[in-house]
Amino acid sequence: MKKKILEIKNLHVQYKTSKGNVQAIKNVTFDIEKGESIGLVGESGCGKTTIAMAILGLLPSNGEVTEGQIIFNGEDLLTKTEEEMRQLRWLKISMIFQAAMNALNPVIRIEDQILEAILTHTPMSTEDAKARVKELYQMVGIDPTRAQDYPHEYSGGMKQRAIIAMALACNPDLIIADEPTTALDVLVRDQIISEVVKLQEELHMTMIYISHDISVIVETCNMIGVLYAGTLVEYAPTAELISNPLHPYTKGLLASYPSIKGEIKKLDPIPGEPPPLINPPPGCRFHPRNPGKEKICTEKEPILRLINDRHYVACHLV
Amino acid sequence: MASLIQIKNLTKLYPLKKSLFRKAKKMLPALNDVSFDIEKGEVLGLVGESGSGKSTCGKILVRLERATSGTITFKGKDINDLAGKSLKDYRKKAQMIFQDPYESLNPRRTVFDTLVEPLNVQHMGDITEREERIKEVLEKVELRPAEEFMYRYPHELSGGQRQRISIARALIVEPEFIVADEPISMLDASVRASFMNLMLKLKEEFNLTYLFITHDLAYARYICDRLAVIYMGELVEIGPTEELIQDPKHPYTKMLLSAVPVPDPKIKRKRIEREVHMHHSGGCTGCKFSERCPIAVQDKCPGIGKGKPELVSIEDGRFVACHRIHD
Amino acid sequence: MHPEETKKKTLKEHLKYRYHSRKKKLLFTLKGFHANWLIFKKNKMGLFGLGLLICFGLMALASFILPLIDPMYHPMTGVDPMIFSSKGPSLTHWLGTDSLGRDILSQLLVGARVAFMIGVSAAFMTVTIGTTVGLLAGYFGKTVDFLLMRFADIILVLPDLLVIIILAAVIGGGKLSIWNIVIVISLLGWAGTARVVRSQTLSLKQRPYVDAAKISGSSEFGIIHRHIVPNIIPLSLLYMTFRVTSAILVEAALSFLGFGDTSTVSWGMMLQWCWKTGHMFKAPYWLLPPGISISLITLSFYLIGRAMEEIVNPRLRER
Repeated sequence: MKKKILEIKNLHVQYKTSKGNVQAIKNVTFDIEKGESIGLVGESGCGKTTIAMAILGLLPSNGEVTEGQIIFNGEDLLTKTEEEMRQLRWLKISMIFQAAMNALNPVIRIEDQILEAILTHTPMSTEDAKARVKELYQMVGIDPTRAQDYPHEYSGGMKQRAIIAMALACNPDLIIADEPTTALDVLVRDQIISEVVKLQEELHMTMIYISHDISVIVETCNMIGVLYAGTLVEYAPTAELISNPLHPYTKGLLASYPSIKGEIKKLDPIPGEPPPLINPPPGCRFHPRNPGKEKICTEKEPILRLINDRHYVACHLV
Repeated sequence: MASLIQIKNLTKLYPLKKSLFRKAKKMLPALNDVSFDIEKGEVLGLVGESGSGKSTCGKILVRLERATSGTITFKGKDINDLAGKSLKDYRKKAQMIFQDPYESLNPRRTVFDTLVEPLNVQHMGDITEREERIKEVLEKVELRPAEEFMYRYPHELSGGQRQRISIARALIVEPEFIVADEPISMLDASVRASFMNLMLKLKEEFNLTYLFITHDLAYARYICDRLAVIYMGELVEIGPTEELIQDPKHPYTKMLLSAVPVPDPKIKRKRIEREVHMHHSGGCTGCKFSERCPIAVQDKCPGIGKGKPELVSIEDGRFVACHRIHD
Repeated sequence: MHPEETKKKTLKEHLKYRYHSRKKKLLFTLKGFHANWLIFKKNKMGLFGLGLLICFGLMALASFILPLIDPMYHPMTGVDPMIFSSKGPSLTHWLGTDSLGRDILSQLLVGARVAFMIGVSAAFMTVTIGTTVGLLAGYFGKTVDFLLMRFADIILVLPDLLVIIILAAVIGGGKLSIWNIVIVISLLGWAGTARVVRSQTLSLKQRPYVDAAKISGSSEFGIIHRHIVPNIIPLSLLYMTFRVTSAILVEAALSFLGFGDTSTVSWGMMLQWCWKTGHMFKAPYWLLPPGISISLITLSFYLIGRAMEEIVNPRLRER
């Protein structure tokens, strides 16, 4: 059996706000094996970024994990101190943030920024680190002679690739990418996606890919987790999820994306909006928007169950 | 039947170096000799990457900017030189909705204030009629009950609701033509779908004509009757949507289509590499796309001395601008 | 419906709309104040500044009361019949008297009143001029922007105090009345505000809702009035607090140097009298109160201004 890089068990995350406690993540459980890429898909506010932050220990000061475990390479990250987490970050788990290209320091050369990431976390010499940067640039498809440039001399797509290079620099076990292509144009986005797929195949990276765009996730990930209002409603291999979606939200989500290929079907969006997480509806959080709901949906929360080969659903109606 | 809007040789230049005393020497051509028509009742998609000039084109059509040269007619009358009252009248006929739902509404004004402003400015109806009209238009954009939304502030609305207010603001003056500049790109996936359905519904109900500006071909396919593809300020291909998507003729169109991710794991799409194949020495007066074109030919396409490729009709209603189209 | 009835209905509907919208706007503004107050409260420095300001405010109010208790407490004319030279603090004169036998405490209290008057009026005028100039320059751009901003640059570069002194010498014959001082301070101090308002206007001009207003057919004035000004006012108010500081300091300096209005008791004037009569190192009870007051009131406005900056610019807020 393949080694499990990450196991998330019954994760609950809460934010304290002036208006009350927001249950941002409730009872999320999933595993990632080595070499897999998991796509986390859902609307904005569903908690995808929160999970990433919880894994890295980067929740804001008003957020806390109230229950659950995050087991990375056999160790529970939630029991670690900040100092221990700091040693893990970048070296073992790295992250590509949303609009990360804006996170590049404009007055420092890109090569130096990547070097800093490498030298702070590994005992490499500067020479070796520079060689590594060249290697990374070749991997992500940027001309290595441009390593000395400043961020403003790069295009949007190049900056994003530089960020990916930085994330790969210390050869981490796990990479978390949070909407890495949202701010990019269609051709550039395509290039980044193909880079990611290529790197995935060459390096057997283990990755969590967070996006609201299911088309991108289908192309890059082999497992998909669907999040709704902080709960994981379905989790299955990509092909299985697309051909056999079981949760009504997943079905609705898939029906709201138009495609270039195939016939033009009328888009049938899910009516209503995601619920406010301060006061979520009782029972299943999706039931107000589900025309096929039954009484039990309004009373009891569904639990994630295994239906068939690695296909989990949290729904009373299945 | 004459088209609703006819654009001929539209060129828009922006001065590169601004100086108070001298005329700018270097000009940036945002749009270069663009010509196309928009038929009444259709949804024309204007597709291109950022910086291609598609937004500029939309702004010129609603007179937010003025064309440097060329003719633009609306129902036969030139709109580029309108001023004063005739410009104000035109503004009742052509409206626009914007990309960013958070920045398109003044945060200090209620929904009512935002919607009553065009009515006040255009002196449409009296107070009672204006209030009625606002309620009516809110119902039409499916914000029900209208009373509940009328006095809300933008921060009390979701992104999708804000975009609906934007449409309501455009609809309230009873326009014939609406430019939609990337209206869904900042909305969530499921909200996009219902917004597009709303746009289609309103088009049928009010007999509207849309120019739908986007870089997302999948959504363009869903809503547009015809597509116009624009690259660096020049129109490269135009034709009925389905034909253009199933059988693209211009290499740039092919490249764009190959770059759209498909939510079906069974289909593996073939990407077209976007690399620089040919460097232009000196100014390029020929086809701007030849630099990255996979089928460009040195002696034909960059055309030092030759002009840019003209739009030629290859089939009924399909036009392509490519030097190699007849090869 | 009868035309007459329609007219009446229209008026009634109109008034109803006006009432409802104004009520909602008022509630929104009040809610806004409350939310802003909560943010302000978190800033300890700001609260300290506010506390100081309230003390000075009370002092200013008390200045009206003191002469009523006993005419000898009048700051200009109230002379203690028993005292002929500057004396230290005593039971009748808590801060002592100046060399003419006038009560220092009452002078201090009136000084607070004068400081507020000068500070607030000069700040108000400065910010009005600065906002108008900045708005016009930012909105209309090109030539208007160029001319106004070059003019602002010139004003910015002028040394305020020196110019006022020269003006005092040339026009006022060596002295300027208090209101002339206020006017001149305003005419010299608007440039900084103008620049800030200009950049804010430039940024607001780009917003899509301004484009939408243009597409609806709004006039330039309509756009400025409805969309630009309401978003500029908070910034102007913020800058007012900083200009108050500046105005008070300029007036104090002027008075101390002897170019102020001798018929007005201000803290700067008190310092001048102290110095001119040779009591600078002999009478700390005379020297210190006005000096410390100037520093503290300036500090209080500055701290309040900084706290308000967090309200106006949400990015400065702590989580």
